[in-house]
Parts: sequence; C-alpha cells; structure tokens
Amino acid sequence: MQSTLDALLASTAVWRARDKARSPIRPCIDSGWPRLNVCLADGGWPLAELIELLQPAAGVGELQLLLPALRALVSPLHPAPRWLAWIAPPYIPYAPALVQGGLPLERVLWVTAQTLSDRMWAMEEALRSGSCVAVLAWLDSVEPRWLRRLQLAAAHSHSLVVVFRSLSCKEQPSPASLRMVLEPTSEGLDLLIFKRRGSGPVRVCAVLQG
Amino acid sequence: MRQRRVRAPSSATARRGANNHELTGDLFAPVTREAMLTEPSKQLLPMPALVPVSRRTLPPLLWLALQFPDLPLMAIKRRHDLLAQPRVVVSALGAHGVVVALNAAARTAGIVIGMSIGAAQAQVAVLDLCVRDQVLEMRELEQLAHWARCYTSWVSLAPPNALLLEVQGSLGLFGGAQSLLERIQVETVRQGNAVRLGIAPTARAALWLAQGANGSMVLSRALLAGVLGRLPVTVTGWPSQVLNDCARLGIADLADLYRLPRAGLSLRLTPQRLAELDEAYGRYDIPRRRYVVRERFRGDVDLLFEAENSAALLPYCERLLIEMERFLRVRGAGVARIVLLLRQHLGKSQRVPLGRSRATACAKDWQSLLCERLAREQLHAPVVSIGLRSDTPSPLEQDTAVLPEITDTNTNRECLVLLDTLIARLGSHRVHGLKLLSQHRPEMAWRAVAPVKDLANMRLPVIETTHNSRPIWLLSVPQPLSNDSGIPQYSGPLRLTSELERIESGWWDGYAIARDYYRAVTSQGVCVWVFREHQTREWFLHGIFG
Repeated sequence: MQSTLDALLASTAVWRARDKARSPIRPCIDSGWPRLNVCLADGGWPLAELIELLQPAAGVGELQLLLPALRALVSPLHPAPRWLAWIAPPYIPYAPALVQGGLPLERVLWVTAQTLSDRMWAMEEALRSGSCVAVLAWLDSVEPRWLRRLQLAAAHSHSLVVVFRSLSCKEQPSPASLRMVLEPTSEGLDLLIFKRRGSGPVRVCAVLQG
Repeated sequence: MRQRRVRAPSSATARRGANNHELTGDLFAPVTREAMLTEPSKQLLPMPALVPVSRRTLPPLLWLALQFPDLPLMAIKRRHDLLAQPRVVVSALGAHGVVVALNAAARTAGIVIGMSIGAAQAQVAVLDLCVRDQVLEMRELEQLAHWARCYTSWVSLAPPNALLLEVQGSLGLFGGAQSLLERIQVETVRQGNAVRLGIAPTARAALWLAQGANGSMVLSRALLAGVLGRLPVTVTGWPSQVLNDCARLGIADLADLYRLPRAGLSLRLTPQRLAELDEAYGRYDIPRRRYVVRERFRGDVDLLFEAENSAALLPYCERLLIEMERFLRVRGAGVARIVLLLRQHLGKSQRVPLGRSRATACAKDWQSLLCERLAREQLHAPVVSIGLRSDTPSPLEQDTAVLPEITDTNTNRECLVLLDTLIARLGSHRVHGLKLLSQHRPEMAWRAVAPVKDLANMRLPVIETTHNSRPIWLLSVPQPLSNDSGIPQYSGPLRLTSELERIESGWWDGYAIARDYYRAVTSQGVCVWVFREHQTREWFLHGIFG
C-alpha cells in the first residue's frame, strides 16, 4: 500500500499542494504590490489562467490593483504590440485617467457587448486570437461551465485574463485558478484570496498602500 | 508624355481679355480640354515675360476610332466552331428580326445586313442562324480594349461596336499616324477581325470617319469641317426615321445638316443629337471615360432547395468563397470587402456586406467572418440562390516568418483578425478605441474612435493632460446626488478628500459648464469623483476612481 502511494506521488503528473518547489514554474507578471506578490503561488499574477475578482460594487479599486501589471505588460519589454481588451466594462474607461496611469491608448480595445453571450463570445475570441496582452471582462451571472470554457481558452493564450464578478458569485463553483474578494476599507483595499494554487485562503490587508 | 509651355504672368491680362468668354460663360464658345488644362499654369510665376501667347499650349488630342462591324459575329464565334457554311447573326428571332452581321460565305450567297430572316433563308439552302447576344458582345469589346492598350494608355469604349484610342502621344513611337493606322489594320486582320478605322481630332468625328470613310485621317481641327461635311448623314447611326426625315428635307451630307439654323435643328433632331454633331465638329469636347481594367469576382450558386435558415447557406457560401480564393490567388490579389446577395423569390434579395481591415484572398478567413455574420442575419424569406460580389482586388501583401523583425507585422495581422471578427458579429459601433482630446471639460476630453489599424507603428499624439488625477471610470451622464445639509450622499454621506478643482469652460460653443470637482470617499471606502454645479449648487457623481 505504502509503496503504491509512493510510486503515485513520484509520478510527475501528481504534485502536492504544499510542495511548491515541485510545481512547475508558470509564467506570471509582477503585480506591482509586494504584499500581494508573496501570497501568489508564482510570485505574481498568473498568465494564461483565469483570475476571478469578486467585488461588492464596481470601482472599489480593482483597476488600481491591476494597473501596475497592465503597465508592465504594455511596456517596451514586451515588444510585439497587442491589444488590451476591455470587454463590457460597467462605465466608460476614461482616456485621460488611462494616460495618467501609463497605459498607451492606442492599445486599448473597448468592446461594449450587450448580452452575456456576446461578452462571453468576445472574450473567447480575444483569448483564442492570441493578440491580446490582457483581457479584462465584466461578467456577472455566468454559468460555471462557461467559465470552464473561458479557462480553456485562457490556457491557450499568453494573456493576463481577469474576470470581474459580483460578490454574490462567491459561493458558486468556478474553474478559475485564482479567486479573490475585494473589500474596500478606510485604509485602502483588503484582498481575501479564497482560492489559489498551492495554499489555502489568505487575507492581504491594505494592498494598495504598498 | 505631353509637354507644357508655361505662360508668362505679365501676359495674363492680355490673355484674360482674349479668354473673356470663358469667364462670362458664353455657351457657344469652344471650351476645349486644352484650355482647361492650361489653367493652372497661370500660377507658375517667375518666368521671362516674352513667351508668345498661344491658345494651344498642349498638343491637341487625336482620336483613332476602331469600329468592328462584325462584332456580333465575333462574340458568337467564341461559342461555336468556325464553319465554312453561311452564318448570320440576327437581332431577334421572328418577324422583326433582321440580319446584323454575317460571314463571308453568307455575303457571297447574296445576304446583306438589314435583310429580314425570311429573305436571308431564301438565299441559301443551309443557313446557320444565331441570335445576337449583347452581353457577349460587350465582353468581346472589353477584350479588344485590353488588346488596344498596347497602342495607348487611353482607350475608351464606344458601344455598341467601337473603341476610341487617344493616340496623340503614341504617334512618335509608332512612326506617325499613317504607320500606326496600317499597323493596327494589319494586326486586326491577322486576328481574323474586320475593322474600320478613322483618325480625327474629335472622338465623334473619328467614329463617323471610320463608319463613312474607312482609313481616312484628319490630323488638324482646321481641316475637320471640310472632311466631315462630305460624309453622308447615315454615318451618324441615328434611327432610320430621323435619317428618312433628313432625306426628305434634302439633306444628304453632314455639311447640309450643319448649315441649318441651330434652333430648328435642335427641335427636329433632339438636343442630344445636335450635341453629337457639335462634338464631331469640335464645338464642344465631351470627355471620354478611360477604360480601366477592373476585375472583380462574381460568383453565383443556385440552392438545391429553398433555405429558410442561414445555417443551411454556409456550405454554398463556402463553395463561392473557395472559387473566389482561386480567382484571387491566380492574380496575386486580395479583397477587403465582399457582398453576399441572398436572392429570394419575386426578385427580392438581401445584401450581406462583409469587410475586413486588410485585403485577403484566404477563403477560411472570410468564412469565419461569414459564420458570425450569418448567424446574426434574419432571413426575410426563403433563399433560392446566392451571389458573391467582390470589391476591386488589391495586390496582396505577402507574409513572412523568416526575419525576426518582421514578426511584428504578423502579430499585427492577428490583431486585425480579432478586430474583424469582433466587428463582423457585434458591429463597428460596439468595438472602439480611445482618443484623447485637448479639452478641459471632462466629458469632452476623450472620444471613442475606431480602433487603431496598425498597432506596430501607430503612436497616438501625446496631449498634455491635467495634473489633477482623473477617475478611471467615467459615467456617461453625471448622476444627480441628493444632499443632506450641504453634504452629498451616495449610499451614505460622502467625505470630500481633495481641494476643489474648478472647471469652467465652453461658453463659446453652447456647452458651457461651471463646476467644482472634488475627490470623495463613500462610507464603503470607494473613491469617487463628484462635482457641484455653480449655478444650482447641486451635487453630481461623475466618475469612480476604480
């Protein structure tokens, strides 16, 4: 019995959640927030994987959180110019603020799809085309099997893939490899990472303050 | 090709006097193309003031008309084998049909043009009778126009059976008008076609010369009236009724006709025929359209059964797209725009236009777009046949994957493919890029634009923005906020966290604003951008810092 288990564990197809050293190194991008980086399995936002950010309302600081990573993705270190796709954001992405945030406007692709199926489709196309450095999508009330489909599409891309959903979706199952709740506080933004690769839930306090 | 002598500016006054009729709009003065073309030369300034003034600074146009009397036969010949037996082409079958063209065997048998079918059949035992096909004739004429482009760059079609070649610039190359004429004559006869030729300074005169005096040349406008005057009126090709009227009036040649009072002539002939006469005599120049080789793909397919949903159309469309790809590949070209015609009963049809940001020949690329587009298309009625029409093809850019610095263009292609796909399904009003505008008013400091096509090289101009921080989310319409004793409320009282920023602008264009903007924090800790109207002292939410 023991030897069977050992043989199984020795197989490269199996990795132990606690054993970070043995997990393969995945591509990631520096989040720009040191306190957050240490809580993420690969030391930054994972690329080519679905990241789910749950928020009580739009505008709690989700873009401040992502801005350093987006900036890094469009920097000259990544030479091939690709889109920064915004799919169905709740408000207008305000151009002067994006410029202040250091994002080149010519890369921004703003898609205002109305129905959920159009949003899903647009996101999947954006991921499969391989022409986006980042895909940000606002999808509420989306079924888990659709998320699974997006997760598969994300795995084929090299993009930063973020799905914004409302807090009520927390209890739903989701194939996203990283899920967290954004909680605005008087000190800034708290992150409750309740699903991540390699470890259990963790709370990161006052992320935006450094 | 043409040489232009430049007019001296100091003689402009004299010239203006001479050309006064152009300015006053005298309709009966000759307005020639040369006069129009030399107009810009007035602007070329520093030149010696002693160049003589001449009305003709450009070599005048010279037209060579090629008339193919056997064109109906030539068009038919493509379909059938050449036979030695008598063959005629008739305008229509039945009592009204007359012979419009005939071969040599028929001619020796005694058949002439204009004979009725019955009379023609009475002449010979076996007669090969074809009905004229004007579409084929036009195609044949276009083929001839292709060939004629080896003599000049300006070929113009003159349906039903003639071509016009502007040859002034070609005379030097071909050794003069006579030599050119002979050369073309020999060439067409070698191809087995009968041709009538005429050269004249006006296009219409050239056509009439070819018709009435095959092989004649008039090289100067001064001689034109004399030569034209000797031609019979029948060269005009006007309806027989008009020609009969002319004969009854005792008009035999064009000189008789041209001598008559214009007002009466206009009434008798219709103004349009008078204009033709004027054009022939060089009184007016009527511009001739250049024949441009324009090849587009046209494909049609009939459905086996009526299709009621668009999914059933896809296999047929695929076939058409593959045909189009073949057509384009041979030419090394691609198209950026196609139209699908879904034809229904009673001659109705539904147009489905498709566009790409880059020309392509690849059927697969088009097909993926078409799938998205057709899935959206509501069919008004069952479809019975499909047509595919392409736009003018453009040369295809070849992709390369060899040199590393060129991978950028391939990425760019992927980016454009995504753009095309999104626009095909969602429509261009749902896929945007962003642009910064130099404006103080927040709602006018940006604009949604079409996404950038060339990501690799395109950089938007940098516009100096304000140093005050702006929210990432902007509300399209400011949302009014209730206020509780001067404190704005947005799910609880707002706490203002910044100095006021006054934006007061736009009094000149009717969208004046006068607002005090603040950064504020809600009770949940969300950072928002609010303003207070100067006039009404009311609070509005305009953005969220996100």
